[in-house]
Amino acid sequence: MPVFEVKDFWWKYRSFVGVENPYTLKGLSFTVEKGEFLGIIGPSGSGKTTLCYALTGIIPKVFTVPYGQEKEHIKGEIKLFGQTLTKLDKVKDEKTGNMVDKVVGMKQTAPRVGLLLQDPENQFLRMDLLHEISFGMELLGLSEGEIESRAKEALELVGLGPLWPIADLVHPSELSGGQKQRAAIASFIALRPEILILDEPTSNLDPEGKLGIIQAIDNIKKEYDITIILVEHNPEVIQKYADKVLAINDGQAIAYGTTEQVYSQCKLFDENGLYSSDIARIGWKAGLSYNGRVPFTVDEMLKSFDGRKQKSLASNLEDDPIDQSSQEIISVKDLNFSYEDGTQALRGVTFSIRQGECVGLIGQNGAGKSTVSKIISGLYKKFQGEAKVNGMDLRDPKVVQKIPCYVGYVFQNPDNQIFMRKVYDEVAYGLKNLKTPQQEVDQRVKEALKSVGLLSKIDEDPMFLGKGEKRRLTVASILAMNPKIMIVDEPTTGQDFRMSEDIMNLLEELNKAATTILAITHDMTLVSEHTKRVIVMHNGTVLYDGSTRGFFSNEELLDKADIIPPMAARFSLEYKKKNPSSPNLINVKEWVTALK
Amino acid sequence: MARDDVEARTSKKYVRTFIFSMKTGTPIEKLHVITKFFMIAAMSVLALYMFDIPVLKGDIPIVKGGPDIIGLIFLLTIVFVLLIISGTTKYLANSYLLLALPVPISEFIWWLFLNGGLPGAKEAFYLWPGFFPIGISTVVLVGIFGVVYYRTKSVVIAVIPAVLLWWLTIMAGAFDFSPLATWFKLSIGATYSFMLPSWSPYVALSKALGFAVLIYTSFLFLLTTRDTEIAGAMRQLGLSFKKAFFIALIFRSLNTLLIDYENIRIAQTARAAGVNRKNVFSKIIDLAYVSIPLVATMIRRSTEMGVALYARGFEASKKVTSFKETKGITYMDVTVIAILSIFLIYEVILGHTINHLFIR
Repeated sequence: MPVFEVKDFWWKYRSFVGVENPYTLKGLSFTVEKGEFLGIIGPSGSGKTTLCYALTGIIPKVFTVPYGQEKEHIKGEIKLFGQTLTKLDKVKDEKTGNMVDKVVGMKQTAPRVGLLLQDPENQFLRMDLLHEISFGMELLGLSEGEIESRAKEALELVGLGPLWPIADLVHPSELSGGQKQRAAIASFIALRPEILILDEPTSNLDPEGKLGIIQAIDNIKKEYDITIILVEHNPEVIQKYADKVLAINDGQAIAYGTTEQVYSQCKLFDENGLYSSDIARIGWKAGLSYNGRVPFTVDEMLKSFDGRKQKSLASNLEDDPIDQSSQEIISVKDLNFSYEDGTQALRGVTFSIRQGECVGLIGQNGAGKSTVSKIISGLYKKFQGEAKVNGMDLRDPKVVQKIPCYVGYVFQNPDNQIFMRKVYDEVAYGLKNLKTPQQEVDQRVKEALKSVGLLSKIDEDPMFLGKGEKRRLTVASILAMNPKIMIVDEPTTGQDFRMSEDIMNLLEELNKAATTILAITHDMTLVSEHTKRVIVMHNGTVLYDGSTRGFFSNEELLDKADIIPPMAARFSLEYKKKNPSSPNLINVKEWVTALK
Repeated sequence: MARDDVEARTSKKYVRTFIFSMKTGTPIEKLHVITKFFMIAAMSVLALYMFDIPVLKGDIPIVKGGPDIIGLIFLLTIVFVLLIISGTTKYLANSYLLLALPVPISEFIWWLFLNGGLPGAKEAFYLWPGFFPIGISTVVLVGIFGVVYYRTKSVVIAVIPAVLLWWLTIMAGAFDFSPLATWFKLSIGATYSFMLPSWSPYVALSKALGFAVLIYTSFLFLLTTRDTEIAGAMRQLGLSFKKAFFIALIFRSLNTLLIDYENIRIAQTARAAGVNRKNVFSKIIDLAYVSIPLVATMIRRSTEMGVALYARGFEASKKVTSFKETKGITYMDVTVIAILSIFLIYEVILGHTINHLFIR
């Protein structure tokens, strides 16, 4: 018997602003068998989170339907363990005796079904790790001894075992995002669920955090044979672990089947803005085949490589990152910085960036990337060493005060940077702070909005923009201030494939127009495709400063930095082992060009 | 507990509190939150009694015995000793020292100079003795300036406490410039003195010390109390699990609110909010703008927290286990409460002062 049966399920959120919402889920039908690993993929806004809520009964128990309007909001049925979880049914009204439409079904799915959300901060409900893990068990009324043994076991399973002796002393602020997510998984594992639903659990995490989560999921699947439903963008994860994949877009299923069946539909992925792996994209565009489909992994690619000759691109590839004659615009020497609690974030960091460069600043969490960027943008002031922007010394408080005129910083979370209730006012905010004349404000706001494709939304409320639109709005807000340098912090986190491409293309356009770009990111595919130079930080120092190609071609450096190169680069490294003379191709475009 | 566990436990030197962190394994960490709360309340009541104005018969205080300066110094010493052993003084000095000083200083100035209604015959107090004394006061001046300048690298910030304490030292020595305290006298200016009620300096000092006790005792509570202790104490006092949980959730939400606020203010700075000088009104508007993203973020967070609670089975729970939510009352708690109670009876009910144990 399947654990989940979803039959022609439709859902529409209730409206609060007078405008009717469209259906978010449109006639979804699929089943999930016991012990299965189902991957759910789809672009942003396609309904993946809504589907997770529906599978846990949060819709319609928490997100309710207005009384008397049930028929307009919900259709179809969801069954859990053979029983109705959610269904619109005719029920006799106790007061009137008439048959009325009412949503019926199970009252609660916990503890049999667990749900892990995207943002680790919002799921950590207690003030210490021990009580966070034990919370669900306390609610179940288990004995103290049982709670203690399950909590310890759960922490071990997610790789947080060393924290057990001090679990009651560990405050949430002392845990990284990845650790918080693992703690949330542990809190569900301790409840011994039969199904665990994870909604993009790794999107806000660094690579180490992502790896930790995936490993934890794998451990619990092996240990308890739990049914896993994972919403994830990363195709490598889905291809490695999932038995079946459901691809949705605009609330509808566009593909459903095994990973092979779904991921071989490259054209469908391209049309719907879904992430397929570098290897699959190379295989599809270059016409390579493995067992009748595109290759998915590096091994499959190697086996499908029919030894066709590559064009001689070597002479074009090892190019100089930038014209050395351009002016130095950022310069840091022997930079040291410690936080208030004594943590030393930077140790003797030295590098310089020339005007017009597009540089990737990469490294593990805690390596010092954000710290050095915030010093350059004048947001952190108490540092030792030298830091100059456009020749101006950042040790001078007067210079720091004026730095926003030269350096624009786009933060990771757009929600933290939107201050106004109108798009126009939002973009104009920075300009008004700079005392720009009103006529010029008008002109620059419109130009900035046009360049990011948001001119039509000029009078809208930013709060009601979509995720990708908000991201573009924050870029426009900085763009309008005409900075010479733009620092973007994780520009593609939480974005789907199409949105990520849009943002990166926008940044490339800005770079061509002579804006210096410094991109802090964990996305190595993005780095390989859009930057020619990387600065790799490790433990507060600069481990490598040079060409992106040079870095992704050096296995020793990659190991030392704890960085996994993009799939295209990994394939190069493997291919070179048997063909040492082959060039170091590091992204999809280069491989496709080489193979045509 | 296994040996490895004990080692892991002792290796954790600090534990997070309401603001900042405190050292683990210290006596204050072991106290129950109810004891700490009683301590704050008792010390506050004592401070209020100790800085009371004396009721005189002639020149002799009756009934209450006047301000209990030694008692206040004793209380303040206890507070600072507890702050030091809890490992919080560095943070306090860096973050709140300058914020906390204006109240005691303004109390001192008000009660010394501006309150003529104090008891006692009018006596002459020297504002300036007519000479610049080279002696202990000079050591204080140079020493305080040096220490504060070393920490702050600001001449202006270093000069203020240095001059203030130097002047206080001179005032204290105005009645007796003995060769021990003053090694050399440089004649500068004339003698300036003013007539004040004889009790003014004592009342002023007691007010300053009393408010310092109130302020730093509150800091002691916030710096050495964990939010989990509050939730646990509420359970011990009989509040239901769900009610205690929601109060604890407020603390958790405040925690994330502060992080969000900090991130939003940084984002505002990045949008040139601090580039040009703004008047107070504009700065208030800037602060108001923070509310938009802050409220939006809090609404999003609270929605997701509601979802997370439902996913844990919060709604359907009936019988809830209390797992290590509460802390027991130990002999240390009983001792502290007993000592403070004796102190309260001595000062408040019997009307005695510590002063009178040392000064007749």
